[in-house]
Amino acid sequence: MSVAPPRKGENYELRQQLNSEYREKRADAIKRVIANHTIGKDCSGLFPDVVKNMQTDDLEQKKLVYLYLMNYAKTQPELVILAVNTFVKDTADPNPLVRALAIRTMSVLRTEKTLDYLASPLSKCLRDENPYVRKTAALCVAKVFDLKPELCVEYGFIDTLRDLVGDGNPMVVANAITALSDIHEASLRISETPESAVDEDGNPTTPPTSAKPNAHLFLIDPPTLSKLLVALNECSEWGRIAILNTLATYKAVDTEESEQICERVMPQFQHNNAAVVLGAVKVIMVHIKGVQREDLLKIITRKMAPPLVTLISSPPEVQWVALRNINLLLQKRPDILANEMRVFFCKYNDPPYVKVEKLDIMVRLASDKNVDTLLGELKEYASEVDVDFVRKAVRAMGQVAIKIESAAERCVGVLMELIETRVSYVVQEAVIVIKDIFRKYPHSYEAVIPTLCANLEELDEPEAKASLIWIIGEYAEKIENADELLGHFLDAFKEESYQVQLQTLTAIVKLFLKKPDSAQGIVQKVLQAATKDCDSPDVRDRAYIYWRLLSSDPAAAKSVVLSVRPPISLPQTTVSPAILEELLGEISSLASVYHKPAATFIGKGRLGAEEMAKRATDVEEEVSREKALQTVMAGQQAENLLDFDDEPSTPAASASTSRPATDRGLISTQQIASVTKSTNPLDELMDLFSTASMAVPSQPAGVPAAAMGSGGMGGMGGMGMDLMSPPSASPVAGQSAQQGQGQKKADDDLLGLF
Amino acid sequence: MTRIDGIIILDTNGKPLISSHFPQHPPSYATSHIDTFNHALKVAQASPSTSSSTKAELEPILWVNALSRGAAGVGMGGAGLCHVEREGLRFLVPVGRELNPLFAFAFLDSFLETLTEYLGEVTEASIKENFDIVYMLIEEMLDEGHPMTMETNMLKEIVLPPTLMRKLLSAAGVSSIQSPASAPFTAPIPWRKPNVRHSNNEIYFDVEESLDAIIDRKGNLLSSSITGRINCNSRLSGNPDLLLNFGNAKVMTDCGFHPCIRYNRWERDHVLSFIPPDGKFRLLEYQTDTSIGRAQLPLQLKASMSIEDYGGKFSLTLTSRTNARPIEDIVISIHLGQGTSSVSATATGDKRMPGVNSGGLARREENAAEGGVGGGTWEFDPHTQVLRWRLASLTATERAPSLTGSFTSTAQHPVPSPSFDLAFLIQHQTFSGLRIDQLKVAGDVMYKPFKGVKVASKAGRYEVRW
Repeated sequence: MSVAPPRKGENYELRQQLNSEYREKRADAIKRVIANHTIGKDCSGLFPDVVKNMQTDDLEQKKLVYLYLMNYAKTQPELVILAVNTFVKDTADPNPLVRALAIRTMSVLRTEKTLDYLASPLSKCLRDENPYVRKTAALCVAKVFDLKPELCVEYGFIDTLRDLVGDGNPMVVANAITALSDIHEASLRISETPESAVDEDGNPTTPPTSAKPNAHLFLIDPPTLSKLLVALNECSEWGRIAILNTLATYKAVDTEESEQICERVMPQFQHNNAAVVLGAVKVIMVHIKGVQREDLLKIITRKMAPPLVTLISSPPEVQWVALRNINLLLQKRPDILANEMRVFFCKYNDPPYVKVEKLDIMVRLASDKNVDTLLGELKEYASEVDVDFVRKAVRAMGQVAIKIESAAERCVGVLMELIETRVSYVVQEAVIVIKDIFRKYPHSYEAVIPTLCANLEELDEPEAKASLIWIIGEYAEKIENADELLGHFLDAFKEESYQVQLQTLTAIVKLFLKKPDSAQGIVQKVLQAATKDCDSPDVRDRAYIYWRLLSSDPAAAKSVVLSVRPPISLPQTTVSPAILEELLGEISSLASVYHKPAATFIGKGRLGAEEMAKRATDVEEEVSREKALQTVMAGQQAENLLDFDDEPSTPAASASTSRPATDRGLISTQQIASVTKSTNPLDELMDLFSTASMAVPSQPAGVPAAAMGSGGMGGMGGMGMDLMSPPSASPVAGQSAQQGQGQKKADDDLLGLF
Repeated sequence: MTRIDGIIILDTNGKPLISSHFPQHPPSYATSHIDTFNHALKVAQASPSTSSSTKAELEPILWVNALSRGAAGVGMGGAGLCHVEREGLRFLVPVGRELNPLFAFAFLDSFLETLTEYLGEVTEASIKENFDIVYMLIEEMLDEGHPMTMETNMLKEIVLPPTLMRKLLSAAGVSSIQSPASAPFTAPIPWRKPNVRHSNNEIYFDVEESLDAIIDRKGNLLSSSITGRINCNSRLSGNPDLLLNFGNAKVMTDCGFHPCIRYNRWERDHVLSFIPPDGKFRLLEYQTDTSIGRAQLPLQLKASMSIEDYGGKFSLTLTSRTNARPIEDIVISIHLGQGTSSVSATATGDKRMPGVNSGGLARREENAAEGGVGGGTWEFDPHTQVLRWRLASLTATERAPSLTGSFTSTAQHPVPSPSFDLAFLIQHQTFSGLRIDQLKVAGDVMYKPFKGVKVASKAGRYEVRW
């Protein structure tokens, strides 16, 4: 305050008015100060003058002054002390509104200096006769704890809060619980901080040394639990949400308690606040694990569906959140909404984000019974104008075809109708989808191939092109002019994206293996082009592998390139089972909306967040590694079956049915039969690869061994690499990407071996 | 936990109008949320894939990234941003920690309801004019993100609504005489203010059912759901304990209750027992699983549309299936696609003249010439490319009104929306046939209140494909 304030301008004028002797002039000035603050003008210079107006009988004026103080206390901490006296006086005001206001504002100021003055008024207000003051004070304790935990311990505020949980007024109870759970959360944070300070390269994270709150500040004991369950039915929706939240974190000691919680929480399904409903669903999902009574389980499952369906007729925002959560629930319990598919039919005016979710859920609910209706709907959607949505609808058809075998033919029929519309993006998407159907049901719908080929010129997207080329390659022997069609792509080889190049290369090699006489020239050309003119190492290496295979042992080439591929299947879940379990425990939270565990986006500051993210990837890696092992294992078992002359009832068979998509195409039959006695399948796989690559003679010197390894995987890894689709494109593509990941893992180990 | 970070109100241009303050966060917190939101909005509006008929729509929760935090920072490496739009204004709620997002939306919903209650209309102008009240409301409703006082009943005791009287007084320079009650929240019932006095004791129930449906082009019902709600306006003195009986309570399934309703009574006897809040409130929401067949649809729309190059033709015919009551306020609308330049159409129908029997050829000729009084009116808005056909009312006995016409478009292949939206209202009738039988008043009251029940059903989101 060394610089004298300017003598003119708006602030000068306001200062004059704030110091005016007329009451209404001062009141008016305060309003103007707040208005200026609203539009972003800096009013911090007026601090002392505003504070002078604190002492007033006009409650509204007082509120506005307090509002000003809250906003500017941080910038003028030394001046706040001027206001403290008035605050303390106000906490003893006869008007409870003033008492509550004063205690609340003081705790919001967040300055060290005022805190010490706050303690004794706060403990008085916590025992105030007026419930409004008590409930306000309860929340203040949490704020004080955030700033100075030892103060709360010293004055025993936390015990007082525990007493307030038994208060007669439900609103006080609700706020006491909210405060306690906030404190609980904060105390966990504090007790974790020193640890992380060590972990993260000695970053000084200022651990509060003097604080010694134990991590179990808010443990629900049986009496508290019953208090909570009673309060649940009495307080406002906001209190209920807080209580439900707390109940979801509570670990029931025995079955009886779990059952009690479920029984008492179920009525909350019937609340007209969507947040309460979803909060209750969460509590149930958490505690249902402990329920053993069959009848209760049945009631719960029956009662859970209707409120979820009701949420679908809410405003779009709520609908969206509900749909995301339903999507998750269905992955675990597909039966709960089995008969409700029609509810999820898209209306034209639904916002796009809602439509996409509904689509996904409909596919999940698709079954033999409703598939016709569903296909009719999807066809409807495919005629809309929103390109994104149309594509997703077409993709959904493919997913339905893959999921329900009996409906595949009808799906193909509808897709062909769509191709006849000749709308570019519909055709392209349909081609991609049909490729997936071919992978699931090989040699079933070959009649459509001519129609697809007729649309060759219309395709301009890499994925669609690659799909069509794959189909041509797969069925080269049945397509008379296959060489002509592929030649067409070969002409533009250099301009194409890698995805298309890879497919062209593979397709032409397939063509050559199937019709060696007519394709001699074209295969030479493509191998030349891919090895000489192409700058993608993947394409080049794959070409080399093919080249070598073809030149050394055409029979081996045939068994590798033309081997039978396992059919694809639709994954039941979009996230890994472990993460699904975790997410189900977090129903109704942000995590369940993003379908990512909270740990991946919540942390203690930035470093913490990274740490958490790493932990989550570790989990994923673990999962994919396991998958890789399973795949290999299942592959062996499948081969065993072949040797045993189709005895499907062996235990091995039942084990492998859990993951039917085995990679038989990975390795040729005789070789895998030789490793059936292995203990660690991955090791054996590696051996196998090393011998396999040894078996190929006359390696040109120009290829480094490592590239050879990965190229080998690319070429031979039947389906994983054969169809390069972007991982996020669809669950189907996601599946292949996952397997690709699994193979990559094996791949890495393989490299280590070399 | 159950805490949001605050609330920010943006004006129609995306500039902040009012925001709560964020004491726990760095000063740039609000700004970074606003920037993220405006940026996302711009991207969405520029995106070509946005369907032409709907305005750009963002996912309701955005992710705001990489907020710098001090050591005291709490929560996540970013924050979720829940938002809704009302009258062009955007209401943003940043959520800096793991939270039930519906909580944020429920808060916004409740906040907007309160604002409407206070300001009448929530517009940029009304908020600017009453910014002090809006501020006080935010402060009263949110205590560092915890909802504090949410019941409008209670709020009105603490923050006085703007009244003409107070405006006059302040204009005249007299400080307000009226001051808030000095002992709030002493009532044992959280949703009801104590010592309510009304000179006329009356209570009104407003039953409204709305039908969401999708009708395919053959006229079959693809999917439908009926949502009902009972709104209540209670102006009763003291603490009345009410008991509401239904003739057929079973038609209500999946009820969502106001907290005042005693759940156990409902489970046991299917009656509503409650002490109501004062004023307007939503007592009950329900779904009814009365399955509606094709035959029960109150209104049938036969629609056909054919698309040609640079235009198309359409023909609509409406038939009422409701014998008892006229169907009112019928509006049929469709978005005709980008580039639609003009529409020409003829609406035909019975001449509406009560008591006069329309018959005979001559008479019909006359109707057609008049452009159809009973055929309603149509209009085309070239800005939104929406065609609307309105009919004031329609009964089952009159000749089915129709609208035939054509439109021209600058696009070679016009893409109209694949369905017609239908809106209508039927007074004095519900789809489910729900009946309110009896209202008993008990408790510490000595009066016999006046009771009123109004019943109506209407179309919610009702689509007819062509």
